[in-house]
Amino acid sequence: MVTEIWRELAVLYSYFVIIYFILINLVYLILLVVALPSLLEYIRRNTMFDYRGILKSEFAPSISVLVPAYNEEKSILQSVHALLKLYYSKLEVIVINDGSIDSTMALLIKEYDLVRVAQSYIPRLSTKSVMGIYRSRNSAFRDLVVVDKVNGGKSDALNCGVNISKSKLVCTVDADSILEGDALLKVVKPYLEDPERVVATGGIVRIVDGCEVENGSIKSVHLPKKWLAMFQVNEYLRAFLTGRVGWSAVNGLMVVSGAFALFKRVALIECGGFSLHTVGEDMELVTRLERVLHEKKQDYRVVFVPDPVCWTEAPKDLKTLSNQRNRWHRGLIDTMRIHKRMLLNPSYGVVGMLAFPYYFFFEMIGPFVELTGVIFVSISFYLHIVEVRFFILFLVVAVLYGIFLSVGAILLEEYTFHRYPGASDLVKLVLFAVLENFGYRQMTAWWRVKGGIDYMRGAAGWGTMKRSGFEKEKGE
Amino acid sequence: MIFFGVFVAIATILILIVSLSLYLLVRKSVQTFRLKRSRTMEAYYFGELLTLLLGSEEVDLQRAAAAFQERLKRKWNFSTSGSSHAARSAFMKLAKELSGEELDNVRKLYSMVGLHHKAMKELRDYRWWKRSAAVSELRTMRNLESLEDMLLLLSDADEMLKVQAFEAGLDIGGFEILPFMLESLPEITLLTAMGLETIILAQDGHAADFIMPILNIKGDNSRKFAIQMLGILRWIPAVPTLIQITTGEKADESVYALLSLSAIGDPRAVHAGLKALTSKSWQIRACGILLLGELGDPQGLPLLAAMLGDSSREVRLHAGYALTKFGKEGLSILSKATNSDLPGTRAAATEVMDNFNIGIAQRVLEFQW
Repeated sequence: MVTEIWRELAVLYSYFVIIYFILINLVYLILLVVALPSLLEYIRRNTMFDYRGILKSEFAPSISVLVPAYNEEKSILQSVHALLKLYYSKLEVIVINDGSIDSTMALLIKEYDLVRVAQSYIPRLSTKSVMGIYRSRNSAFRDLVVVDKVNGGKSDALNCGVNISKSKLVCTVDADSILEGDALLKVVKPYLEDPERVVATGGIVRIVDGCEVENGSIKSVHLPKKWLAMFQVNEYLRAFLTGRVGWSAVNGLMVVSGAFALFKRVALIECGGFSLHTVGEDMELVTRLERVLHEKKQDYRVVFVPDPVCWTEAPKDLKTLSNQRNRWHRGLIDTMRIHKRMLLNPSYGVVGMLAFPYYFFFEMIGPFVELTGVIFVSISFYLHIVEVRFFILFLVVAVLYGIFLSVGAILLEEYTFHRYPGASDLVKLVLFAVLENFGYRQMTAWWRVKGGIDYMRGAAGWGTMKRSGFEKEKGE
Repeated sequence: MIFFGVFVAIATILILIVSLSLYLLVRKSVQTFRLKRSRTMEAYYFGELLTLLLGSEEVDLQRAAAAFQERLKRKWNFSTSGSSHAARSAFMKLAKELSGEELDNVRKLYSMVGLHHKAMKELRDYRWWKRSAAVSELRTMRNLESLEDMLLLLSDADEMLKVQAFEAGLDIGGFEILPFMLESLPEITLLTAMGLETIILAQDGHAADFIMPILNIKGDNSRKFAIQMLGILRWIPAVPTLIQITTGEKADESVYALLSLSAIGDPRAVHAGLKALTSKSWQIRACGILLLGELGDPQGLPLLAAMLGDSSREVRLHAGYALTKFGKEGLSILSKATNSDLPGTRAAATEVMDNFNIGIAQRVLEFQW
């Protein structure tokens, strides 16, 4: 009797899994196909544009780079050094020390000869209290502002930075990330082309592990030596070069990475700033921004720029990586829950009808289906409900398609930016694209499922993120 | 059985797709390599030919053009992409390497052999990058015949191309055609303004004469651009016009005019600054204060002191920082204001004084213009 019920369930669930499998992979394929011409067009535009015009112009919009820092003593000085050297004339770097309990603030005060200034703090967005605003006595660092505030989390720190900023545009950067010298010039260009409509732009994030870093700048680009970081390189390539480029091309981008994003400050304030109640503040903000603009019937664009590179440290151990993926998934579910009325709602255009359903049905539910699918098929196989041939073919198809998507992303990378120059790099990337299907993918799916379970149980917080600083990358 | 059939089909399709992708990758790499080699070789031979034809001391351009055209008609055995493409690449390469009379000869020869017709045809191509490359080529070759077509691109939907065509048009037709070009331009956008700024700044100050007529153009952005540009160029003859604009109906134009007058620093603008202090708009009042601070005229002192009691916090702070520019007299007023009965005045004066004392007063203004 039990076997009969199980058999019925197995048949029904298999139908569901097959349809789901076909749909999800069709969407991935469409994104890959849409991404290619967009990337090629970007490359062409980029090579024909002279960025020096922006660099020198009095008409260039001012940008405040916001750097929230919580216990970042290992990397803060290098990050700030690198940010102050960015190619952009109207630049202001605002470091927000979010109640660090290490020596982050002391290091900044000493290095930049900071002094507390009398400056009123106007909380356009409500934040935890500010203890002091500091500027450098040395005019060489006149573009640097450091805010010391009571700990309130990353979103609170970013909102504080938005309040302090005087610029038209604000750029969020993680303290453990490195921006390439011309990153701001490139990320601001969509805004210059369409200042009325563009409300947010985001750049690509790549893994810094393996690269040679000197004084906060990337000296030479290499692939990581460690396997865990290698898997993440492939993941990032797939997510940014196919997913984000594809969605941006159809104006359905729902997330720009908080590690490097540019926002119109007024739009940010109007929609209430970064949410304090979610761990996926970057996605939630962009979704809310789009929701508000749609409700106001305002034409807008959120653009992904695939070239301005932000280099970030990859989690180096399984524990940190699982924490990160758990948090990302909780953030995703939270955004889906908060803005659920956008789901399949034609009033929200492409976002409501395509992007939101994609994130809801595929990104949010996907890991559950993937894991339950594997478990279900395995049990059915054990109970001799599923044929061996079916079981093997299912695995072969899933693995092959996984490889195909990863190789597709690598091809896009090779044909466009080609940041990893050696032939051995290409071989290594393809090898890991194959290997990630045997264990790594299932592991990340489990972490995401666990994130979902934790979310249901009401877990909050970021989990521990170990940082080692950039200098270790040198000659790693 | 149905599942099995479906999966066999999917698996077969996927294997085919993966194999096809890999095949395409290899094929494309080989093709690109061959094409690059072939184009490089062709362009190299055309380049050699050009150097030969233009190399003698007394160049006979007519004969050189005839010889070049004859070679162009004879297809090279290893041609893959059309000889005219390689010939155009050779001309572009040579133009980048040469200067003076030699460059003039290259440009003349380019037009004489009729290669510009190909580029002009591409100005109407549906692909923007083709149009962009053609603009770049015709600009490098200073082809006057293409100027009319170039002006049509000023209405192009692509913002970047518009800027490129604008710059190319000015390079080809000369800076004198700036007002005419601006009239053909539907509106000056941010990117156009930046491109135009670069061109104007490269004119060593001769451009200001051509900016004044822009003030007569209807487009709001064009006028704002011209007002700002006159400030950037510190164009003293524009002062009376700018003063007139400060009293105009459009608040944002008044703001930009006051900022430009601050940049120029002409004492004739004092009255415009004083008048701005009575405006209803806080932005205009603040910019009037900035202007008076820059000019440093003592007759502005009592009014600046009064502005410390303004209803707008921004205006009070601007007044405070402007007072620090008047030396002892200004600081004395500011010092007294730190004991004012009015909390707003007291707070602004204290903030400014505190920052002045640590030597970074001017960096803490709340508003960035």
